[in-house]
Amino acid sequence: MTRCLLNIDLGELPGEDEQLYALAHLANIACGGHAGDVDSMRRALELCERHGTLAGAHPSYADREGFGRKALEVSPEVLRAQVAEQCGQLAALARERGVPVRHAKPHGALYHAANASPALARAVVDGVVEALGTKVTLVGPGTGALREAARAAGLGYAREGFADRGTLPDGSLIPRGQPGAVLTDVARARENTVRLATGGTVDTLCVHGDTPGAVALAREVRAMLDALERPPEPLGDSALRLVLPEGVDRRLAREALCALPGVKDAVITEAHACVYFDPVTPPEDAALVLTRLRVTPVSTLERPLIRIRVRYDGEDLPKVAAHAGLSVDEVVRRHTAREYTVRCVGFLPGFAYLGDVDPSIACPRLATPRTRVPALAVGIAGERTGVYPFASPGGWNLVGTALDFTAFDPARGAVMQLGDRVRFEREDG
Amino acid sequence: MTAWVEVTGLGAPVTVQDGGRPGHMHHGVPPGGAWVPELLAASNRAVGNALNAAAFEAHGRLELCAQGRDLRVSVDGAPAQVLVDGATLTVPAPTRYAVRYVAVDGALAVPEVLGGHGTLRVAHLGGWEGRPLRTGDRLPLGAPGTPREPSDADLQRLAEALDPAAPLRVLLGPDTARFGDAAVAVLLGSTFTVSPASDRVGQRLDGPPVPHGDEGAGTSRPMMRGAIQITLSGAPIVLGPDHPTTGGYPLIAALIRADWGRLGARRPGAPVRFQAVSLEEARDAWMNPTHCP
Repeated sequence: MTRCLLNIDLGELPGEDEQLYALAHLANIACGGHAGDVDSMRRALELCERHGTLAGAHPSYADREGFGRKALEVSPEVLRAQVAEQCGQLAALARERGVPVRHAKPHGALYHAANASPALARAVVDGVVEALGTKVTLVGPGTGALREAARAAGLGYAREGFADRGTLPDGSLIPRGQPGAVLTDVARARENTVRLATGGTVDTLCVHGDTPGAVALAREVRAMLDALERPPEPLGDSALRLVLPEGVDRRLAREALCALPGVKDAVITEAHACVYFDPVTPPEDAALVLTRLRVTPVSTLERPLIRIRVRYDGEDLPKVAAHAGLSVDEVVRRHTAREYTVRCVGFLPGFAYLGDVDPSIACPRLATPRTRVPALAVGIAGERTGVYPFASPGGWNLVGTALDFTAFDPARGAVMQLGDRVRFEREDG
Repeated sequence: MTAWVEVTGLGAPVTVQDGGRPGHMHHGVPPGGAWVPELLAASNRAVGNALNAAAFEAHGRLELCAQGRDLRVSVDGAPAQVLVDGATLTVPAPTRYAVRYVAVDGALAVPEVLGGHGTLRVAHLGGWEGRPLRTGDRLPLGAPGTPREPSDADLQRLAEALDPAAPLRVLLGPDTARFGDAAVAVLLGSTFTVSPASDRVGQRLDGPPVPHGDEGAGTSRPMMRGAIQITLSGAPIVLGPDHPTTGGYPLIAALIRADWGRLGARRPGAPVRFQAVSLEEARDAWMNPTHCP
């Protein structure tokens, strides 16, 4: 499946929610035709830059009163000039900020009128090319005059579907104003998203920024698109391995997965999450649960700080110091200077992967693991550090011994849990 | 009235195991459970215990003495025999399968740790003092239930589930792409044998090396019982009930749930052939009454 991108019409209304920029892959920025002025375009471009959203132009019939919703009698030549002027104004402001403008999408009535008229479609394309050049992608309906005109001019073309619009049995949109035209129900929009994004007939999905509940809707559509991009990988018949989206709170990710019906356990590792279940009751939506977290702002409670006293007597300490080009004392100072976070728990009961180690003292694991590492040995491997809860085989560089510490409590489990904060303190003698 | 079973002799490691302690992988605690779940369940059923109750998992000879009451004992799901108070029973070392299960009515009443009674050796946890049993250990017993005489059909199904000649069914993946077709062809086209260097952490297989040039992720990834790792020397290791919960080696395939016991039952030196199946076939196999009674 090729990637399906979310596009949102933006820069149209005062008080627009900034989150929409974070959720959109493509922002169609109103550039004065139906809405938008210099200030709103500047703000939209700034928000695109802040959130890494691709900025594009959203030209329209010159009709601010009617929000570009009704078809006007305009000659192709006048239309071309209007489109060029609108796109050109956005392009000029974008150049000031150094933000590229690489796509355009006609708005409202123009979108439909131009798609039905080769002459108007050519006028739109010519106007876009005049302002933005030929290295742009036109966003428009799956078939029709706009696609033909874009192709003839050598532009890229992205076939668009509407996540928040109802469709008739023949696949065409239910006209605005009729019942079911605009979907505000998140579940219906999600079904629509899956159907369109996996059907092979659209390259991008639109959520209208002015639909009631637009932020919630856009969030669900974006989460769904992200989830479709990273399908879970079966690990046998009773586990699914999932790619952990970047920026997701690891602890919340585990809790959200455990809350799914049928899930018996969930494990977070460096780059993955894994859910475990009975072979006959696999959980649905595990990937969606994770991508939803990615697009949902959360405030997390600060986790407890665990202090571990360490005698720095590890047999690999001189080797780690030599690898770092530092004195042993300096390695110890840097190891104790940071607060670490538990990134995963695994390998052995109570073994916590703590990160990140100061890059200057990071050290690759042993080429040949030891057959026996003593309990409570403190090790470094790459940018991770940790405490061996039990005597076991192990390949980490041993730098010290934790004192008066228990990493695993048979009654409660791992003492260091996902997200907990950990500091090591030097103990001499 | 209190009853015990005393270990009066043993020839090779014996531990207390049960249905496992699922749900604690996020503490780094592996799921545990019997190496051959079907044999544990059959033995417990024959003496009237819950199917996942704690019993002896024996690699060698085991001598038991009843204390406090007459005991019913089932070995590998055979009809229960009565061991009168004070009498001794010698269970010979396993010959048919790699391990054998000895269930006593009322079940071994060892303390529950994190939802299970099984022994996890690496963490000295569960079972009897977190260690293999020794001569002289006296294990308390629970209240006996109603024994159920196994039917011929039960025993027949058990033998089929653990058939030493049957293929071991796997789902390919999730890292198959990191191995290539040649490695998959070796895995599915060769006969391996169970290495003597196998334990509850993993069963190592001897045979033609499975080629791959992948040293692993370097960072840890989720693991699962039945997952098949390939070591740098090309030897497959099938993760067992006490596997490390995370690991860095790529996974070429994973044994289906229904065949965990079938592989666990294979003795060192026994042949192992893998067969790839679909997720649907795996689920159908799991619905078989031997696994879901």
